[in-house]
Amino acid sequence: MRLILVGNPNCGKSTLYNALTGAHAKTGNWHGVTVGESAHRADLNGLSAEIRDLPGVYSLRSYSMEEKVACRAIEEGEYDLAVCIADALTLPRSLSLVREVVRRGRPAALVVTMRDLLEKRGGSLDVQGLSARLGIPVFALSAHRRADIVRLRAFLRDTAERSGAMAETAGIPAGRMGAWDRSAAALLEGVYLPGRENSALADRLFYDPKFALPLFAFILLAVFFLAFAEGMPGILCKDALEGLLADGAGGRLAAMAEGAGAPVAADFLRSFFGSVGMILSFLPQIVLLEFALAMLEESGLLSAVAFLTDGIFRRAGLTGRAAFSLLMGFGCTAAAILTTRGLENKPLQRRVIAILSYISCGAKMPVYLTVASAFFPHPFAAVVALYAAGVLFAFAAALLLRRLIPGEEEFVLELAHPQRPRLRPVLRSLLFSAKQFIIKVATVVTAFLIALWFFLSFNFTLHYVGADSGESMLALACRAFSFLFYPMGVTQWQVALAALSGIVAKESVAGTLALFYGEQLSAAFTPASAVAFLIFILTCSPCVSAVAAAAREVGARRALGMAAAQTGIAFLLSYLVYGLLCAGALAASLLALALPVLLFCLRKRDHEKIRRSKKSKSERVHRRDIRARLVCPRAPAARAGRPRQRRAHGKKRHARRGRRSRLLYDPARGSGALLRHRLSG
Amino acid sequence: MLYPLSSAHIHNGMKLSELAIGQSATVTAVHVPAALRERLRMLNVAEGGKICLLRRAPFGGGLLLEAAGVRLALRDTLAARIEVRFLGEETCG
Repeated sequence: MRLILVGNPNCGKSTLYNALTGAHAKTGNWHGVTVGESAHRADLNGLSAEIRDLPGVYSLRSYSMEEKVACRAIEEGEYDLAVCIADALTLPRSLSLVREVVRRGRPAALVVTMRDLLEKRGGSLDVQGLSARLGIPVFALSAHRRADIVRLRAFLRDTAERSGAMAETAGIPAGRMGAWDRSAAALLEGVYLPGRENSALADRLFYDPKFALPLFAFILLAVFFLAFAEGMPGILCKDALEGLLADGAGGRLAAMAEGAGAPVAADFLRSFFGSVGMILSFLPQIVLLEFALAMLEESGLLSAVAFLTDGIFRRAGLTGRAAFSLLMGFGCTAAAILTTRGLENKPLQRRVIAILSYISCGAKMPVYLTVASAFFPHPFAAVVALYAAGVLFAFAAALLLRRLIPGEEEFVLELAHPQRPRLRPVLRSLLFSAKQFIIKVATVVTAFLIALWFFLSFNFTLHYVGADSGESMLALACRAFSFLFYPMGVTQWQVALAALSGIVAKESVAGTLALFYGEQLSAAFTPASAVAFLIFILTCSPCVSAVAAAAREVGARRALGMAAAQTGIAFLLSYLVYGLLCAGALAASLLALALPVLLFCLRKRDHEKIRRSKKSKSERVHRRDIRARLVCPRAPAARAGRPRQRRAHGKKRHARRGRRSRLLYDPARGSGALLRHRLSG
Repeated sequence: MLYPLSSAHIHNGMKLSELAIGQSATVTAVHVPAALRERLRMLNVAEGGKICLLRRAPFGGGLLLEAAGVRLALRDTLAARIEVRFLGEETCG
């Protein structure tokens, strides 16, 4: 039995999907969370069914990119029952999608969510009456009540079995179809009361710019403070966990290996547990960030932020919707790239994907913290400054890209209803993402570190040379390209290797640094080069999985091009930063000399423009450029002249396009040609 | 690119972007491309529909509308292409 979930955006499809199947599809209180389809087996009271979750659509005449996925699945997909989901608050609007699905002639059922919200507003829904009128089974529930989910299973099972029994007739009998020709208002007459929307306090506060924007900024700062500031829970948990893993487990195992007479194994265990423990110890801070993001999403504040910040995004050629993707970028760039499918058009999506790499993902955080805590007295301020610099870079890049990838955008967005975030789904998704992080560290990063250790500890003749030796295979290979890092004040090939390892996963940058230097990073960096290195990590291309996600969205060639450009820019920026930090005084005096010259060159010259019109298009040329013979404007096209002039010069009138058609004017016939032509013809 | 409607295009009433906060109006015409018009129709902004302007965003952003139970954000360039007939100052909830 195959079921698909169809419905408008943000009506609770993924929430029901998770509840029915136990899957971990991403949910959130804003429109366009789900952008791809996913399927999972579910047990409906003994009936095994495959349930497919689709992105939300407003109608089958699709509009944006992710909606096309859903439309194709509804039109061409193989399924036995289309479960239409509608939210009780906007039921009249949702019915038109149900109508389109029913018209396809496939068996359908209607599930109405957010019943509790409707009742709170004083509205009501007569399920039996609606079902009789629509001719399809109807069920109403609140997705967060467990009892309702149990009843939904029974309902889906009954409906699926019944529709399976009458699969030949498929859907509603033709005679009942007539009901659907009526308008939504007529269909709902008497069975549905929308209730009165009393704008709650949260509603008014969320959409008040004077309250919502400071609140949003405060939440972000508070989260950063809790996670990164000295003596706050984030750092305390991290230290405890690190001690437990690196010194506790790793130290003991290494001692055991040494006791057993295997110094190479002890060496390996110590450095391996040191770096893996170091990465894993960032779990509390990552969980804290993810928790804040999930709460923001569930509460519906994100949707308000999208509305309030559209004016800012518009200046950078983006729309308020990009706020969703950029905020997701603080969690994981690859996941954020997926959400860009909800954006209005392709050029806009390309621009957002390109700037997403400047939004520091959760995996870059360990690198920032490791390097910053070794060189700055206040690592908290340094990390916040880095995150802020990333956002500024992103905006600067957006401004630049607006010229490179032009494309206009329009902003229409339905806004979510604010709600009290429910802890259970948030914690559930949090546990899931923590599990994902541990799995990633345990598989990809661990495998990488083991391979790294092997190539570092053995030379080409496979003799053990020790981890810090410069004779190993990787050391020789890395020296070849470590010269790229010289201009940022980094002369050690180990750092070059660490930066390179960021391609696999950003966590392994910190892991590799720990493998070589432990806590003594001052051996690798001077303070100036540490800053330059941080800028490099901040701006370089994201990891492989993010590039792969980008390749799926914009094509492999474009994604690789973006990554290469980002890495190139990252090198240049870090050289610049190092240069400024080392030769700041020199640079400042040079700048002071160059500034007047620059200002003179860039001075506004608007008033010197002359405009010439060529048809409707006007050219804008600077007078000074004409004088300097930089531009040679063409002389205005010679006019045919007025009748008296023509006679004086003995010229004939020229039939020009655009003024009169040939029919109207024939040079042979002179003026009034048409009339005479008609009369004679 | 959608250019703002010139006054010559407005036959009856005013542009949606000219409404003040708290005022309500009936949509009389929507001058946007077909795909966008379909999207707006699904958000209850279509000819004959009643809408109410709830808020304006800061930084020259968009408008916050309420249309038959749906709340939506709309950029003002788009709002300038929607013709409305003024209904009244009634407060909308």
